[in-house]
Amino acid sequence: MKISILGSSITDFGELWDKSLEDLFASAIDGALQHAHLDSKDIEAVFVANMAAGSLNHQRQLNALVAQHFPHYPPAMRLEAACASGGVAMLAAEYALLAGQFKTVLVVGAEKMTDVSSPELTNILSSAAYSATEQGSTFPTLYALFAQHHMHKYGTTRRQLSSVVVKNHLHALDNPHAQFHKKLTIEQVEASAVVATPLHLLDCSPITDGAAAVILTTNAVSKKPTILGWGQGQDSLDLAGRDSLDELRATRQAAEKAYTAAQLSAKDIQVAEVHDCFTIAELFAIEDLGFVPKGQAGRATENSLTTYGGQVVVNPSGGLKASGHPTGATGVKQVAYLAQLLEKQQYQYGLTHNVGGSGATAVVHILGGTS
Amino acid sequence: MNPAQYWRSSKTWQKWLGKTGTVLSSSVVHVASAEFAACAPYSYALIDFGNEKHEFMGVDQEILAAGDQVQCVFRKMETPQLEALIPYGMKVQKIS
Amino acid sequence: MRISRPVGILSYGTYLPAFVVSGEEIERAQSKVGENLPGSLGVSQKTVPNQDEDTATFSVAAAFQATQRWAGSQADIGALFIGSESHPYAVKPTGTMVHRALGLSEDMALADLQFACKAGTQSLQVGTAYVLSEMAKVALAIGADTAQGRPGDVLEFTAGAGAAAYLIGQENILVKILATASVASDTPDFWRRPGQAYPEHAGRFTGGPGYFHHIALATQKILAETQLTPDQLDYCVFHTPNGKFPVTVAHQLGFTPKQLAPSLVVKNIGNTYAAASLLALAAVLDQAPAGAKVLMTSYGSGSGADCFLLETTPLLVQKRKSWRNLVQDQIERTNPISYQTYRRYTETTHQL
Repeated sequence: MKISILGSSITDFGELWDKSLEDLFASAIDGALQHAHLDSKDIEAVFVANMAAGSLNHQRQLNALVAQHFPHYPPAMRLEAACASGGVAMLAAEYALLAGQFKTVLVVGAEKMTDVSSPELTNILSSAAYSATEQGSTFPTLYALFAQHHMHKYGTTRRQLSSVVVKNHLHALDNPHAQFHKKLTIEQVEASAVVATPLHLLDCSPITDGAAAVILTTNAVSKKPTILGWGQGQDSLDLAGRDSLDELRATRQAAEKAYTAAQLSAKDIQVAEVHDCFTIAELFAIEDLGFVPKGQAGRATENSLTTYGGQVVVNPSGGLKASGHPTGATGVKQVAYLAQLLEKQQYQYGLTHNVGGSGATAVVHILGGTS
Repeated sequence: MNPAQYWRSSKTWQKWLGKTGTVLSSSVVHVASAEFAACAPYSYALIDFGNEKHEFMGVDQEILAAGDQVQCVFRKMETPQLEALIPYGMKVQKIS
Repeated sequence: MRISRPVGILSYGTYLPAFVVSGEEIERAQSKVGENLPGSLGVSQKTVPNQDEDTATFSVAAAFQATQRWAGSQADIGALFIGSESHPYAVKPTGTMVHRALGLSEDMALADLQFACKAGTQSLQVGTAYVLSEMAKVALAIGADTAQGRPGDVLEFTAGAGAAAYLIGQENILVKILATASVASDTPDFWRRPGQAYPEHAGRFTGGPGYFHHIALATQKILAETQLTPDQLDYCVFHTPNGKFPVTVAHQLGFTPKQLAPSLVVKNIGNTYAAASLLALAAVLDQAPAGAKVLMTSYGSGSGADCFLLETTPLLVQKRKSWRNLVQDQIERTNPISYQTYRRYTETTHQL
């Protein structure tokens, strides 16, 4: 059974004062239906991805909120895995399709983050960590622990971290929906305020409003990108439970499963949207996905292996850093963005990588092009 | 922290009080959650206690680094609100 | 009262925070350079609690050291009394946090005490009474404070922070408690109303009618009851509101500077209020030989005094060999901070 991506849509990402959470969902859904040339009634079920609307927007039962956008109220469910909500919503849709429950479904992810104050937001986001044992941590702090370790063990440099930012901001210039269309230099990254050593403000993905949707079908269609394989990896919620700080094992496991399902390997991947919530996360990602050997990610990025003309184009959209990170939307946006590139026949094999929290959950999808 | 959460988490104090370990990785937090803002900058570290690992905040004003030997001590976790239960808990301090 | 049955100190622990602020820093802040207040007060620096410390965290640290040095069973601790002028709660004893952190038995008599600087020694006496009356097999008594000094006031030079904890029982005694007596009166030399950040003090009135009168009263009572004279004792410990009063009262009561000297940690830590006499005693016990007789009289404003006659045993000397972090060790590892930093930490610790 082949799963094709019939249509996709990504809203603008940014500080969108005049858009409510509902507006974001609606915008992405309508865009995807239009792109797929489908009518609302063609959607048999909806899978909704969102991390924290209960706290950010005082709104739960999102499945119902989204279903009511369709005149026929399709059955809907909401999936949450922190920043991997999008990825697991994709999986739920895929499982339902493979089980034969439905033929055509829509997956939509959205997050409206900018209404609350910054301290309040930090507090809400920190609930994706292990509240019982990680008191005093923030997400930048947890990834900073990874960064300290990677720099200490593999000699990754401050400059190499900064080069991730420079690359992704350059890539974002080609993404009309990106939050930032601004080139950044190494010096600017390193001059930004320290958040948790060694990470600076510009090492961190921003706070973003946004949504993305994809329509998946098992009906026979042509000239549409397909989903060749997927995998989910799971690990301890807190850092203390991980076997080591050398890798995100959840990423490695998810990738292994996806490559096996797609019958491909890392060297076949030409383009990838990976989870760069922090610069160090992209370095871990390209190692744990098998693009470069363990410990080499800093050097690889610095030497332009992960941009155009290199080995694999990583984060053509600008990634979470430059395109923005509405937490519930990212996993769906990654699939939507690559689907659009593949539909334009720019690549044959793409990979998306979506992580929850400090690496407890990872979802990898491999997409195939239309040729 | 509400009374029930305080009460449940306080049952873990005795387990950790006085335990020693080695810092595996540590970061100095400059931008903290609101309730910890007054403590910033503070260290946050992953500690190896031999048979298990755990993450702890470092005591106020102390910078920790990988390899440091530390001991768990009883401290205030955050600056308490005037009327609220005082959030005590465990942090780690360098062993000199 | 002379105690005829065996009872004594089974172990003790102390805690001093890691920061000190010097008299010179305070002089400059108060624009009193040249008046030599540190010199006349006999206090060159005082300890300062970190922002995340308070009387409860101090008490836990001191009590933990006491229990770590003790081979007895924590389950036998049946009474816990803590004396302080800076209990973190007006309602909820500091003892409850110590109880939880140490994992003590739920079979427990527990309360907080306040009587200015004698609340710690009063706790020691109450603990002793619980043990002698067989209402508890072992008692834990703590004196702990994060003392408050109003900016610009003379107390700012001396108000320090620290804690000392003592385990009292009848088996494997390190220091025998031979006699104890207390005196009390209404003498308004120093007080604090609820909601006030800093205490009021009555200046020179705290001396004669306060400190000197009550210490002499309690000390002479014990000396009479035990029929001992100062020259028959080895050490004396008197409450240390500053570095001068104990020297004066020791002389007045017939003790020598040599008997007093090991107890004068006040010079380097300031007046630790309810912990003061107990910390001074600990400094003496950290180095006393076996068979040494120690007289300790503390003073609490308002007013009252507790006097104890103690005697060290060979077990103290033997056990002490494996101890770390004695009072002097903790003094030596303190680090100086500026006046601004001291003020910032104090504001955070003393939220009222």
